[in-house]
Amino acid sequence: MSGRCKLTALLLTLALLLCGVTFPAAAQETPAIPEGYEKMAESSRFNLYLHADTLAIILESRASGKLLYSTAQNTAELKDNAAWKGFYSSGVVMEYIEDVKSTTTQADFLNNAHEVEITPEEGGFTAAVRFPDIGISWKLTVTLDEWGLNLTLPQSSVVEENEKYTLAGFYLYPFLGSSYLGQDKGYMIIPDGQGALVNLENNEGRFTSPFDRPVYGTNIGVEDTVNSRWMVGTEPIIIPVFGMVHTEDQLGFLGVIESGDCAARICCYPNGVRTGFDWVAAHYLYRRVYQQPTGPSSGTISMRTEHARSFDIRQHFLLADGADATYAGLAVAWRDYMDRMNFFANADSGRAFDLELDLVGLERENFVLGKTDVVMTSTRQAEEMLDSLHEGGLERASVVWRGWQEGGLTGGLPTDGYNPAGGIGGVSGMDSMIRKAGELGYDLALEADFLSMNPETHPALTYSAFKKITSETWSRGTFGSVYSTMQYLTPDRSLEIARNTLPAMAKAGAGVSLKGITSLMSDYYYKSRYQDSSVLMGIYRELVQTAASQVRTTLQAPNAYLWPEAHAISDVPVAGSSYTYTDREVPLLAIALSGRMPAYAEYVNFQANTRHFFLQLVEQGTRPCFLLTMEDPIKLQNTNSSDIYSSSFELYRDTILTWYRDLAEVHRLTDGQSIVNHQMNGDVTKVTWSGGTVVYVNFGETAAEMDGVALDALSYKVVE
Amino acid sequence: MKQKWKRQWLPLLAAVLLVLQLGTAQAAVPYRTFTLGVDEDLVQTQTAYEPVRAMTRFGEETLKTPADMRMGPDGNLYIADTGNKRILVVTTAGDYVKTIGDKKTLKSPEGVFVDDSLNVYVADNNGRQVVVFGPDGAVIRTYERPTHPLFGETSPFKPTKLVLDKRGNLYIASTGNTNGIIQISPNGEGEFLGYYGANTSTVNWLTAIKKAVLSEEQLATMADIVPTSVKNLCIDEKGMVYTVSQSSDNRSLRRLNVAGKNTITVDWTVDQLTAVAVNASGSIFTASASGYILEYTSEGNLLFEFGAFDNGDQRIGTFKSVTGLVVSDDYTIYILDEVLGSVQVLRPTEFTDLVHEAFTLFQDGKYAESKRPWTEVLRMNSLFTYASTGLGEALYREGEFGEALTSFRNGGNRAGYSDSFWELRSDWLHRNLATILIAIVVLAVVIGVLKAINRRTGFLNPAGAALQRVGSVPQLSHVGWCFMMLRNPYDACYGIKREKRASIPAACVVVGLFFILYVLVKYFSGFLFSTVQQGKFELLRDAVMVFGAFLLLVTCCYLVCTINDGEASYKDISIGCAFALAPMLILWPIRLVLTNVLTFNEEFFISVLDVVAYGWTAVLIVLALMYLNDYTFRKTLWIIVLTLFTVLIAVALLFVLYVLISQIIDFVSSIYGEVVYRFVRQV
Repeated sequence: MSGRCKLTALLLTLALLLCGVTFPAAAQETPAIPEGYEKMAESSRFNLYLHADTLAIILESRASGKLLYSTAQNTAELKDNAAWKGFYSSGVVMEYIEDVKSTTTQADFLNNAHEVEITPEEGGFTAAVRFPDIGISWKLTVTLDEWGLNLTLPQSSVVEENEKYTLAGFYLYPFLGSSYLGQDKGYMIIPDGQGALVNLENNEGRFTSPFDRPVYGTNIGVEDTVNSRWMVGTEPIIIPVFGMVHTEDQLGFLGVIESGDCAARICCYPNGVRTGFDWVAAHYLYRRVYQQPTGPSSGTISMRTEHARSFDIRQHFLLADGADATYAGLAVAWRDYMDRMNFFANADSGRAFDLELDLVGLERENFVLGKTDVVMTSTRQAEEMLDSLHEGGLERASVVWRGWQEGGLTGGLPTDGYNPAGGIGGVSGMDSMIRKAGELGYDLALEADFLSMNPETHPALTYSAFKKITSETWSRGTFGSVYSTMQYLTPDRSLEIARNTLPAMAKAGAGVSLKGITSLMSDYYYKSRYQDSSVLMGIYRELVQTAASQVRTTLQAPNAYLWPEAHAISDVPVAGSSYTYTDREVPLLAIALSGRMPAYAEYVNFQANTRHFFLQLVEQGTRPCFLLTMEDPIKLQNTNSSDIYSSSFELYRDTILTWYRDLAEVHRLTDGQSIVNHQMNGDVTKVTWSGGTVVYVNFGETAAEMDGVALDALSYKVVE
Repeated sequence: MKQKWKRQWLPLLAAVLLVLQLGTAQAAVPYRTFTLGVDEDLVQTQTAYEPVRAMTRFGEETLKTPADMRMGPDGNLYIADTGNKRILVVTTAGDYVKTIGDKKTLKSPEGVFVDDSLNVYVADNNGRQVVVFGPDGAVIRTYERPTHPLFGETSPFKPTKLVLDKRGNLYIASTGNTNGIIQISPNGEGEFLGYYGANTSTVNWLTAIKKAVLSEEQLATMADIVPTSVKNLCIDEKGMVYTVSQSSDNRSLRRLNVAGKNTITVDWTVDQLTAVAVNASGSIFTASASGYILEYTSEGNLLFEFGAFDNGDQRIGTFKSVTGLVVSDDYTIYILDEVLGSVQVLRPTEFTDLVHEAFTLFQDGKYAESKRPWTEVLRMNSLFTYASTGLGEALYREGEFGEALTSFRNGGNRAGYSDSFWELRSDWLHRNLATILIAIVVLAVVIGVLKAINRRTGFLNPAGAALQRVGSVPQLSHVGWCFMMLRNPYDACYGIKREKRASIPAACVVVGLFFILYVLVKYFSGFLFSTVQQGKFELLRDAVMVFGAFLLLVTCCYLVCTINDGEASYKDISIGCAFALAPMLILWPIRLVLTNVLTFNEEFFISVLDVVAYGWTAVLIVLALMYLNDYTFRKTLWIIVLTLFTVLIAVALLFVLYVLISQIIDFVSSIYGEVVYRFVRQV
C-alpha cells in the first residue's frame, strides 16, 4: 500500500471514529468456545453450550460473538481453597447436611464424585445428576428461548438415598457472568430498595462482607430480628431478581426467580469478599440447621428442620445484548416477562393519576385508670378534609383509613371485624364518609392488618400467636409507652379473620389496604409441627385472593409474589439501604411497574429533603402518599404512634394540592406509557417513556444541561 | 508503566465516581434521628444529617487506624494516620494532597492540629513528644516532657490530642495524666504553664466513705475515684477549649474558659465520647466511639442525636469506632473511623438547614424573623420542642399570648408558659374583676337575706336537722373525727383511745381520701407545677406506695411500741396515723386549685402550702404517737427513729423473699421446659 493510501486509510479511520461509527462486532476479536463444551441449543440471539461433566454452560451472543461464562476461567493460579475452587468451577453447587452438624457442606463437580447423564431436550437439555458418596440425586432442565435461559429443578426429582445426608440447598449457575478483580467493565444488579448497582472494579479489599439477604425479608421464624430504636433496618428484598451487565461486551442478564422465592436468598459478592470474583446469584435453601433451646434461659442443641421446604426451583435468566444490555433494558425485559406471566392481571393499570391520603382515626393513650381514646380524625372531620381538598382542585385520590377500628392504630390490632370506632363516628359515620368519598370521586379503603396482634387488648388471640420453629412465641418490643409488645398471628388465623372481616367491608362499600401479611415470609411452628415458608406463602396468597375477589385491594410494601392479585400497591421504597459497596441506586422497580401497576411511595411527611423526594417521584413515576390527621400530631406524643410527628391537615393542605397539580401534569404527558429507558449523567437523569416523552431531572444543587436541555438546580423538565 | 497509569488515572476515576455517587438517587438513612422532647426524653424527628459518601481511598493512599482529624485553614482535612505513622492531607472531596511526617519523625501520631500559618502540630504518643511541621513538611521544632517541678515527677507525657490557642499556647491531652490538660507556652523550650481544666471524680456518699476508709494505694486502683482523662479536645474562635471524656454524666462535654472553668452543662449525653468539634456558628458536636453523633446549641441544649454502630451490614452512616470529627461552617460533618479506616461525609438536610436558620435568628434576638422558619419546622415536625418554644417567644412578643401559651406548652417551656399565662390571667381579671366583685357582693347579700328570713321563719330548719342526722351517723362521725386532730390533737387521741370516737373503717376512708388526693395532685396539678411525665400513669405503683407504705409504717411502729411499753393498740396507731393526714385533706385540694391558676411569680404560695401541709402532718403524727402511747416527747422521737430502722429491715427482708421466690419460679419453669423439649417434642 502506498504512503498516500495509508494516509487516506488513516484519515478515514479517524473520521469514522470521530463520527462515532464503530466497526461491526464480528470484526472485533471474539473468544473461542473452550474445549469440552458442546452446543445444545440456539435462539435468535444466543447459542447455548454445555460442559457435560461440570454442567457449566456458555452463552454466546450471536450478534457480537461475545461469551457469558457460567464458571470462572483460568483459575489454575488462584490461591483460593478447594471449596471455593469447586464452587466457581461447577455449573451447579449443591449443599447438604450431614446428620445434625451445625453447618451445611458443599457438593460440587470438582471435589465430589458425581454421575451426570445428559438428555437433549427441545431448546436445551436435562441433566440427571447423582453424588454417589452422598446419595443425593436430582434433575435439572435448562432451555433457551427468545427471552433467555430457563432453569427448572423440580423437587420431585430429588432423591435422598441415605438418611445421614439430607439436601440443604442449591446455587444454579452462581458464577454466570462473573468477573475477576474488575477485568470486565460493568455492574451487578441487586434488589435493594428500587434496585442498586455494584460496579465491576477492583475493590482492593475494601469490602469484608457480601450482600446476602433473604428474599421477602428476614425469616423471623428462624432468624433473630434486629429491633433497634436507633437503627433503620435494611430494606427487605421485595423483588426476587438480580443481575449482571458487562458494559463493554454489551451482554447482561437479569435472574428472575419464578418459583422457590419463598426459600431463596440473593447473594452478591463484590471482589475481595472471600475471593477475587464479583458474582451474584440466588441461593435456594431446602433445609437448615437451627438452635433449639432446651430451657427458657440457657442451653441449646443443633437441629435440622423436620422436612425439606416444599418448592420446585424455576429460575429465568432474561438475557440482553447490544444496546439493551443495561439495567434499564433488563428492567423492561422483566416487565415483559411479568406481562407474559400475567403479573398485572388485576392491576388497575389504566388508573388516572391520583395520590394516596392516609387518614389516622384514633390511637390510645394511658389514663388514670386504663386507657383512653385519642381521636385524631373523626369521620365528620375527614369529610371536611376531603371537601376542602376537592374544592382546592384535587380530582382523584385514594383515601386509606388507618386506626379506624375500635382500639385504633395499635390497640385495635389485629383488624378483627368491621367495627368502626365510636370515637370517630361509628358505623353511621363511616357509612357517611364512604358515601362522601364516592360523591367526590375518591376511592376509600380501610387499612387491614390481619397479622399484627396486640396481646394486651386481644388476650384471647394469644393462643393463635405466631411461633418460631423452636415453638417459642415470636414478639417484638414497640418502644411505645402504652403497649410494650406486639405479636403476630398464625397464617391460618389471619386467613380466618380476613374471611370474617372482608365481606362486611365489601358490604360497606369500602376497599381494603392490606398491611403486614404482604411483607412477611417465614417458616413457623403450628399444630405441633414445623411449617415451612411455602405453606405461609400459599395461605397469604389465598388471603389476598379472597380480598381481591371482593373489594378493591391495595397491598402495602408487598412481596412480588402477591402482585398478580393486587389492584395497586403502596409504601413502595424509593431508596435503598446505603450499602458501602453499592455504587448507585437505580429505579429498577419503577421501570418494571411503569404503565402497569399504580404504585404509591412511602410517606412524604417524614422526608427531610422534600424537594429531592419530589424529584424522585417525578423520575420514577411513582405517586405520592400523605399521612393526615385533623388534630395536631402533638396529641400522639404519649401514644405508641409518637413517631407520627408531622401530619396536621391544616399544614399539609396546600402542599398536597401543589404536589398533585405538578405531578398530575407530568403524568398527563406520560399517561398510558411505560418507561423504556433510564440514563444517568452526573446529577441529571433522563427517563424515556414509550410514547416518546422524555423527563429530565436534575438532582444537583447547580444548574445542568443534558441533550441541550437546560435544567435549574433541583428541577425537572418534561419534553414531549 | 502500570503504576504510572494508575497514578494518573485513579484520582480522575475516583473523582468521576465521586461525582456519580453524588448524583445518584438519595439512599435511605441507616439511623433514626432524635431530639429532646417535652419531658427531657428523646423523641424521633426528621433525618438531620444524611450520609453522602464514605471515603476509604485518597488517590492511592489508605488509612490505617487513624486517630484524629482536623480541618486546616486551607479547607483540607489533616488526618493523623497513626498506623502508617504520618499525617495525611486530603481534600474534602477525597483527593490526596500530601503526606507530612514519616516513620523517622513520628512513632504514633494520635493527634493533629493546624494553625493559621498551616504549621502542623502532631501529638506523637509513643514518641512522647509534640512535633511541629512547617507548611513544607519540614520539622521546625519539638516539645518534649516538661521539666518543671510542678509537672510532677511521675506524671507521664504521652500526648494524644492537642490544640493551639491564638497566643500559641499548646493544650495537650496526655495518656494516663489525670492532672488535667497540659498547657505549654511556645516561649523558650516550651515553658510548662500548668495543668488546665482537670476533670474531677464523681463524689457521692459511697466515694466519700471509700475516701475516708481506704488507703491511698487502694484508692488509686479504683476507677470511680480517679478522675477520667480527656479523650479529645477542640478550640473555638474565642479561645474556649472544648473537651470530651468517657464519663457518662453531663460533664463528659466541657467548655473551658481561660481560667480552666467549665462554662457549659449539657442536658443529654451518651457514653464513651471520643471526639468533639465546634463550628463558626458555635454549634457543638460530639461523637461516641460506637457512632452516635450529638449536636448541641451553643448553650449545651441537645438539638439532634443520630448515628449507629456498624453491625456488619456495611452501610454508609454506620461506624465501628469514631476517633475524629470535623464540622465545617456549612454544617457538613466529616467523621473519621479508625476500624473502617474511612472518612464519612454527612450533610445537613433541608429540615436541619431550616432549624439552623431559625436558631440563628432566634439567638440574634430576631424573634419576629424567626417565626417563618420555626413555623416551617413545626410543619415538618410538630413535636420539635425548640420550634414550639421559638415560635412561642415570637408570638409572646407580638402580644399573641393565647397562641404563645399553646406553643410554650407544646415546647415544654415552663418559664414561657408562666409568663404567657400571667398575661392572659391578668387580662382576664382586668376584664372580669368588676363582675366577680359584684357576684361576691350579691352572694353575700343573698346569704344574709336568707339567714334573716330563716331566723324569722325557720324555713331552713328541716334541712339543718337532716344535715345533723346525717352527721350523727356513726360511720360518718367517725370519719369526721379526724378533723378534731386539727383543732385539738390531744382530745382527738383521747377520743380514739378511750371514747371509741373512731374506727378502722373510718381510718381506711381517710387513707382512701388521702390516696385520691395524692393521685389528683400528682397527675392533675397545673402544667407549671406538675412533676410527672405526661401520659404516664402508675396507679398501681401509687397504690402500693401509699397503702403499702402506710401499712408497713403502722405495723413497724406498733411492733416497736409493744416492746417499748407503749399503751396503744394496733387499731389506735392505725387510726392515729391515718387521722394525722387530716391537714393534707384540707390543704391539698387548695394546692390542686392553686397550681392551675398561679404562675411562677406566685410559686411562693405553693411552697408555703407544702411546708405547712407536710410540717403539720409530721407534727400530728408525733403528737398522736405520743398521746396514744403515753410517751414523752423525747421517747416518741426515739420510737420514730426505731420505726424507720425497722421499716428498712422489713424492706430488705421482703426483697430477699422476692428474689428467692423468683428463683424458685425460674427453676420450676426450667424443669417444665426441659420436660417439654426432651420428652414431649422428643428431642
